[in-house]
Amino acid sequence: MNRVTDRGFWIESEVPLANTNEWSIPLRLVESVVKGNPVNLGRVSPRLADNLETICDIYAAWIPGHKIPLEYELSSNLAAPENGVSLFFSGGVDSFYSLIKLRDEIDNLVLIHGFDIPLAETKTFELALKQAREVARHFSKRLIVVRTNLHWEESRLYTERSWIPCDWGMYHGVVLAAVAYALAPNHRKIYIASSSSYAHLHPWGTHPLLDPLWSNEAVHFVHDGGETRLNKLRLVIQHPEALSQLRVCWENLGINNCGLCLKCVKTMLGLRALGVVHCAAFPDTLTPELVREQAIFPRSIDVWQEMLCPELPPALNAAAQSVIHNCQSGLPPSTGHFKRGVKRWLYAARNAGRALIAPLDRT
Amino acid sequence: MNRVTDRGFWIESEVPLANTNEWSIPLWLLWAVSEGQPADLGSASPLLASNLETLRDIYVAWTGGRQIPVSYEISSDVTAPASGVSLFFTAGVDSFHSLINHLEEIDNLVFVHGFDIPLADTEIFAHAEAHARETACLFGKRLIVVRTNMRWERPEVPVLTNKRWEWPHVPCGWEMTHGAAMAAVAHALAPNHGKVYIASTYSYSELLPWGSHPLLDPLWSTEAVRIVHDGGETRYNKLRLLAQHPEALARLRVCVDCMGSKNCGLCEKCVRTMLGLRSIGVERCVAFPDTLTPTLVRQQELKENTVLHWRELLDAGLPPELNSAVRSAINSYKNGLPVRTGYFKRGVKRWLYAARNAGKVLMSPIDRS
Repeated sequence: MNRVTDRGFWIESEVPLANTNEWSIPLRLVESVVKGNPVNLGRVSPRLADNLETICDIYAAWIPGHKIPLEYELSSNLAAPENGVSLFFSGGVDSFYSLIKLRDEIDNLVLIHGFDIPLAETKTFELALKQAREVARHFSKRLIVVRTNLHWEESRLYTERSWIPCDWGMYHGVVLAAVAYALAPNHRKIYIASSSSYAHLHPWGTHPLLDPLWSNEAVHFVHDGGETRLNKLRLVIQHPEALSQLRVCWENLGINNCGLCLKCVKTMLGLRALGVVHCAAFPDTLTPELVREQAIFPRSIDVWQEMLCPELPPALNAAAQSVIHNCQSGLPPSTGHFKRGVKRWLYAARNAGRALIAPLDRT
Repeated sequence: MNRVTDRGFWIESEVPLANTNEWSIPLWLLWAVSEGQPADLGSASPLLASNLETLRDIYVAWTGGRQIPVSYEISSDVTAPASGVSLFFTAGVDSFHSLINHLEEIDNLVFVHGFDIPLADTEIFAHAEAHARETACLFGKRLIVVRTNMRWERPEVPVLTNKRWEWPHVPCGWEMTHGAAMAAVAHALAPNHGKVYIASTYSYSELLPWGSHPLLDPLWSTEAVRIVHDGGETRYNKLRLLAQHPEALARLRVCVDCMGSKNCGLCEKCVRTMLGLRSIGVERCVAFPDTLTPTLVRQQELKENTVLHWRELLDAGLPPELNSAVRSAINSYKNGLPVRTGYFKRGVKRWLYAARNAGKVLMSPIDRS
């Protein structure tokens, strides 16, 4: 097992790892932007150095953080790029889409233990690993398994806060960049599957604007996708062997997909919209009642709107519409319970009161 | 006068122009997306070719266009970049900020007749050009004046079918096209520079689909001309830098109504800029008439793209009466109310609108799905 370490953070893998400390630059950079401390980044390759200020400006605007002065030296002995193309692979819709689309180009799938699955969750990771092995075998790719404590402390469960400096939604791109650098001896290009479509970009840790900026002379970063989620699923369902291995759930319950959380529901709904009634990867839990209970973020409204199509059974369609409507109107989900119903009317009364006195310009 | 033409589009200038047709690729790509027809883009340098599909995907997503195949050949003879760095210059806040930010590096200011100022408005352009020339001279830069028909004239061929083309000649609307138009001009001017700055419009925290965008602009780069989207600062921070350079501040031209020839002091853009100046302590700026009053501020009708700039002004150090006027303008936009003018009738209308909105909100728990 090879391991690189820096200030208590470590990344380990069976494959060869980089022998410089450039891999930890993203961590130190973003931590300083959050805390507002000037930072010395050590040796930085010229191409990355060119982009550091832009990365800082973007993170400072998005987190939000502070504009900090950067100190670094340009490194002169540049590692020549190796052969090989990798893709970060979590087993979700985005990474399956990129894998299928780029199957001729990709050599390695990178699975990280300690990313969305905490290090202490060995049971869930075993399952994810088994699946990833199966996928890698099917598509004839090499699976690179990486362990890291960049997100979660080694001995703690995910219920306790991890030690990252900002929200994981903004930070996960930093961890991916660090892992990609650490794996430099294994690839010259790495694909990061997109989360959002180009039409609905919002500040996020992996982003078509941000990801390519992490490129250095040895590793070229490509943000792949920008397709809508339904279009991605459309490609994935043409490959039943991929579909049966989907793993989208973040609940880490020791099963692949719980079938009850927001992400599971969203994916099952998408599959149903495309005419897939039963999918081996999910339990048979999709009911209109379950859908109605979901509370979504405004940023995912577009994903839900996309699924409202004639192919979706009317009851599910109505339930999805209700979820979107609740999010747009700032109401709690409708569950059919009397108490929840009362709460919805109270919220509506409060919102209406605010709208009524809006001409006073108090807000 | 040198001129490059391609299927009805032309660009002309006194300076040497490119001798390939690569400059028109941005225009034809947008044409294809807007028309939903496959287009032959001709020969593209390897770097641009590698980004054409991404550019198409972004434009398709942003303009609701159709996913059309694009065909192009990859050109084998790659031109070496010329020396020189240029900046598209309109004398507005964004371009002045980029000019001052890269004062040492920039050699040329590119001033285009046929973008904001219609080709037919020669008198206004002459006025604006004289102003730009004076500014270029002051900062010791060369002014490159370019004329083009890509926005204001419609070539006879090909025949356009898509009704969404804004009059007279812009696919996807000028808001979505102006970045590609700048890229076309930048490539046509390839013998004069190896790097071109496009000043940003929005800050990184307020990105929305827009023709010139930190995601799009660099993708138009070729081996010969690198296109850099500069800034990503808030308009407020940009003004703060400008305030340290009185000679730039005095030459600011932001007004859309006056097409950049002077500032009317009454339109949304003038008001927003005057507010920004006031918030950083500039009481009086010779570039603007003395028109800023709370009533004028309240009367501004904001839009989705302009409200972003207004939010930056909130609690940014404005005098209390102006600050509450800014709040009022934002509030009217946010709640879908007519703006406040002080007239009694308008006041009644605002309350009627509010009552209607409140009624809708109150009924929102009724699930119609």
